[in-house]
Amino acid sequence: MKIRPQMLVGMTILAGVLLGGMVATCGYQYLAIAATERDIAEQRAALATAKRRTAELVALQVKSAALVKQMAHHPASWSWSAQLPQMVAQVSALTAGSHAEIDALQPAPVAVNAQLARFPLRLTLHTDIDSLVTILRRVRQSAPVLAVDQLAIRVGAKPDDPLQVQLTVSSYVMLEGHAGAGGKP
Amino acid sequence: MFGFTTALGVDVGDDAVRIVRLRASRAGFELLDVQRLPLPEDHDLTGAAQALSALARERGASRTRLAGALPASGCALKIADLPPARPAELALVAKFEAESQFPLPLHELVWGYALSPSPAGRFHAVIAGARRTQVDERLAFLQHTGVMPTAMLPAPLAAAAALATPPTGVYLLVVAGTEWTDLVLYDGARLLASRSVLAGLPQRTGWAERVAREALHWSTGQEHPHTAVLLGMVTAREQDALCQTLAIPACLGDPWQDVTDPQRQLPALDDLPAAFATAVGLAKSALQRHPGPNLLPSRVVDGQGQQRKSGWVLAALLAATVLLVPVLRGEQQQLQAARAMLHGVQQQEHRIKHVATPAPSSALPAAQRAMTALQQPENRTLEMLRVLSVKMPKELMLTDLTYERGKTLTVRGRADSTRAVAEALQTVSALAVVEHATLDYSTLAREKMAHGYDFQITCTLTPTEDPTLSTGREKKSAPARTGTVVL
Repeated sequence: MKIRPQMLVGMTILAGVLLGGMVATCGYQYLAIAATERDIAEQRAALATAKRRTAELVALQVKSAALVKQMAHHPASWSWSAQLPQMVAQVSALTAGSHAEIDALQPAPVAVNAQLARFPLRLTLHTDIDSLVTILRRVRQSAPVLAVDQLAIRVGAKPDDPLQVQLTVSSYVMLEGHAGAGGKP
Repeated sequence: MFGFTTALGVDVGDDAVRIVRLRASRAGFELLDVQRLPLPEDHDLTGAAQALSALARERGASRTRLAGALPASGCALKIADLPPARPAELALVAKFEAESQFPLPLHELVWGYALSPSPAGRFHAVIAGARRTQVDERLAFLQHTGVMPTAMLPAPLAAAAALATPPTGVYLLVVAGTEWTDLVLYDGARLLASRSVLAGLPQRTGWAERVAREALHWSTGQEHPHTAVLLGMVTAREQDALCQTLAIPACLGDPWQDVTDPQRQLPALDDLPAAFATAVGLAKSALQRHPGPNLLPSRVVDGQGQQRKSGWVLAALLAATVLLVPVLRGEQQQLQAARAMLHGVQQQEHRIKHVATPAPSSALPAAQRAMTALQQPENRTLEMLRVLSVKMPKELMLTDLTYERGKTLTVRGRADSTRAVAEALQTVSALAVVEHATLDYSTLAREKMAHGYDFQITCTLTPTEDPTLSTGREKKSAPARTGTVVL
């Protein structure tokens, strides 16, 4: 087939356009590969962060599970009315089998900070030193946890009189939602 | 355009158009086609042009070099001895020679020249010229092949190129046509002189005498021929006649000497073998690319050069395109792999982010701090009582103890002596949980039954980190009280 000069010029232009297109595509692909590799690096960093956060979260979950045994988990609306029965039962168990007598129980205002509520309960006891030690030991070993906020010991008027003890123990509750719950029963 | 291995030589003679197609081979040349298209009496080329066109189509001559010839009777061949110079300067000198030697102005001519080296660095120039109209007519005829010719040579020079082994020394080349006979004087490969004789058909009586008469003054010159070579419409009879009239040896030239004929076309040829000398020489010149003075118009030559350049550019572009294809494909695969990897990483991250891991309670940090605080020694009342009971002096009796977590520890009692009070203060101060201890008072109790010193010690405890005890650090900043001891 005879190739006319015009055809040759046309084919040359066509080949030039084709080559230019291919070069442009090559350039685009090169840049796209570079950008994609950057994205991969960023995504890998994000993945590593996500993995680390997940691991931290899991660790926190484990800690949380351990803490929930010591400090109950309740909604933000949790109040003394809800907490008191459990706490009275727990306090009764403290003195069970000892020579201590609980003269009075008085709930104190709930202290809430950082979605952690402390329910203080003031006890007035008549007891001897051994029973007091037993009670304090039980307080320390109690679950859910109890904290001794205040302790006042006075000897009786006579040498054989029992000790007059004022003991404030607190239980803790983790509140879900906003802080500020609680109140008097 | 590329890879020309065949060449077509088209010789428009007095009686016929002779066509030879050769292929270059290791041994020399291989004959592909040989044709003779007879011309009518009036030399009308129309029929021959149609036949040539059909032949070219039939044989697929588009990828063939084409060379044509102009009759010597229509050309002017001039010789010049040029001084040593650069090619551009030689071109100017050749033009000057052409202007001075040709009787017609150059713009009416198509002219060309060929240089061959001479002794002392000079150049032997053969300058050929022909009327532009004549060249255009011949070009138009040759274009019936569908191929643009690459060379247009004076016929006797083309015929001389057909000789595989030209004689050495000065010789006379006689190319006989049915009307014109061309005489060319050669010294080896150098053309010395040329002229054409309207001598008629060689087989007619008197042809040899007419030729000899024209060559006579060459025979008497300084560079006289020692032999004559006959080509064209000649036979052994004309050879003998010319030999006798010129009084020098004469031989019949064989243009087919180095051409093989695998298809056995030559024996079937209805023509004299030497009559194809010009066509064979044209084809050989086109294949060997040293055509001598080319009489193609510059527009044709420039167009061919342009086309050749365009061809090379196109080839380069196509080659670059072909080379780029694997690069492009490789990059494409790399990009796809990178995108797949990115997608995989994104999916992985998405899965991890959206995995059903419930968020821990927001109260957890506070609860953790509270638990940690409860495990601190200052919050262990039992241990504190034990230490106090063990380490307090024996001469001392505690009557009252008040403990407030993270704030204060107050002990009251009666001691036998102030020394015991001081020891008690020292003991309490030594407790790790006590930041600061103060003796509030120590007063002598004057009672009948019990004699001693009543005292009170107040200690500031290390503040607890329990977040629900917000007043934990208040007392730390309170001014320290100085104790008063009353004896």
